[in-house]
Amino acid sequence: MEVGRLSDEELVALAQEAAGSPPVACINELFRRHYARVARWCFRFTGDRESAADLAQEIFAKVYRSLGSFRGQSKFSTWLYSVARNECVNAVKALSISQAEPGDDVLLGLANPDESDFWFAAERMISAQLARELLNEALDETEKAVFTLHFGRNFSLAAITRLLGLRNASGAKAYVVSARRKLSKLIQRWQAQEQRAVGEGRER
Amino acid sequence: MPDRALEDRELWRQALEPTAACPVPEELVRVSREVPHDSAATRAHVEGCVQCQTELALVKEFQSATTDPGEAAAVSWITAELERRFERILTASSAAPVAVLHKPVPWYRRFDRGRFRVAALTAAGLLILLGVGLNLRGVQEPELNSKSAGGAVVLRSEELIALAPIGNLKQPPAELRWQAAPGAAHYLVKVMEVDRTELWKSESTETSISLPAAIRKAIVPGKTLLWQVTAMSADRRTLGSSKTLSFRLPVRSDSSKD
Repeated sequence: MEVGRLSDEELVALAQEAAGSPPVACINELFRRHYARVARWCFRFTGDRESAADLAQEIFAKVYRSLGSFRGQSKFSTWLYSVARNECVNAVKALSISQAEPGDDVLLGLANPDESDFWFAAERMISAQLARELLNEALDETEKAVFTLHFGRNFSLAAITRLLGLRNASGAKAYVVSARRKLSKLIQRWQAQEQRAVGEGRER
Repeated sequence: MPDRALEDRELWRQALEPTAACPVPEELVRVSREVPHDSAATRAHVEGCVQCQTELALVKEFQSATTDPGEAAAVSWITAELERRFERILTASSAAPVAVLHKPVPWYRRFDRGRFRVAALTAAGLLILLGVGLNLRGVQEPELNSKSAGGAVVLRSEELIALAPIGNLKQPPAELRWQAAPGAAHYLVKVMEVDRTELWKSESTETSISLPAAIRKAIVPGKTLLWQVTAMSADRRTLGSSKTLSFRLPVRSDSSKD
């Protein structure tokens, strides 16, 4: 059998047929095709090659154990992404990555020195749904991604810079600053509208 | 107001978490490519969902990214390392690969199966006999030498011991401390984030070093940091490094509002 001529999905199907002891040649071929992709992802996530190799090993081990759950309804590489993403999120949780990034106070102050209580203002106005709408309306694609990964998944700014391939000098940090500036303006507008609405209600 | 800052971040974190309506990546990709009628609702959700758009961007980056010149060497090394590890694991484990892949098997376990056991025991016996025979012939054992060819001391692993801070702390540490290493003229220390991004590094001729205010400020509740010390000789050769230690300030449970 010429495994090199089979698609990823065909290799997985073959491995699934021999549940319990899939042909080593199939697994080797399947993994070999994706080593570089996962290596690159893990290196961008961890920033050092030794940790990246360990993380990548975990990812492929998880793939091996979970091959039976691949239903062939997507490309294998998309499913592989899901496994890699989950392993990274788990790694972040296991390492208790913070809810705060060093330098953020400075960062936020730089973004809008006149308004010191951005987060508090946001807290008063925001429900989770409203926050999502606000972010979607105000931010561009990269700002959304940076904001979501940093504040939603606690990925470090350095990891985000590498994962998204950001080429500007200060990487993800610049996008957090610009996102915050836009959100501040939007919140101020929202607050003004709220106050007007309250005033009109009193007049009636 | 660190407590309120944490609460604010928690609020944003909740807003940015996937919801029940967010499709899994496989469906996300399918929806982004096709326009079937049954995915109209999902498409509408994705267009208004920051989380889903981010996920989609990451999937595309994962699938289509090319290796930058700056990371090419590291990616090649990791790829070669994976090939080496899995070649070994898959070849050695065809009888029970799932168990093996769950945790790499120590090298000595490979002899602990069926026909290998007899051969391994025979080989071990021969080696013992050979060793005894050599000893009886009066051949002297090679002298243990802790010096490298260049004469510098090379520390055995874990000979350089980092002491503190480690684990959960009650207050931000003022300094880093470690045990003196033989032959060390000075020490390099570095403090890192958990993804090994370097936050600060410095040198000391003592076995401790004070943390500057900027780093102490970065030690906020709930954030894990790493640190490591490396012993250097007078001619700036690396003698050895300590294990990487982690420490954090626990998030206060009584985070009442001001």
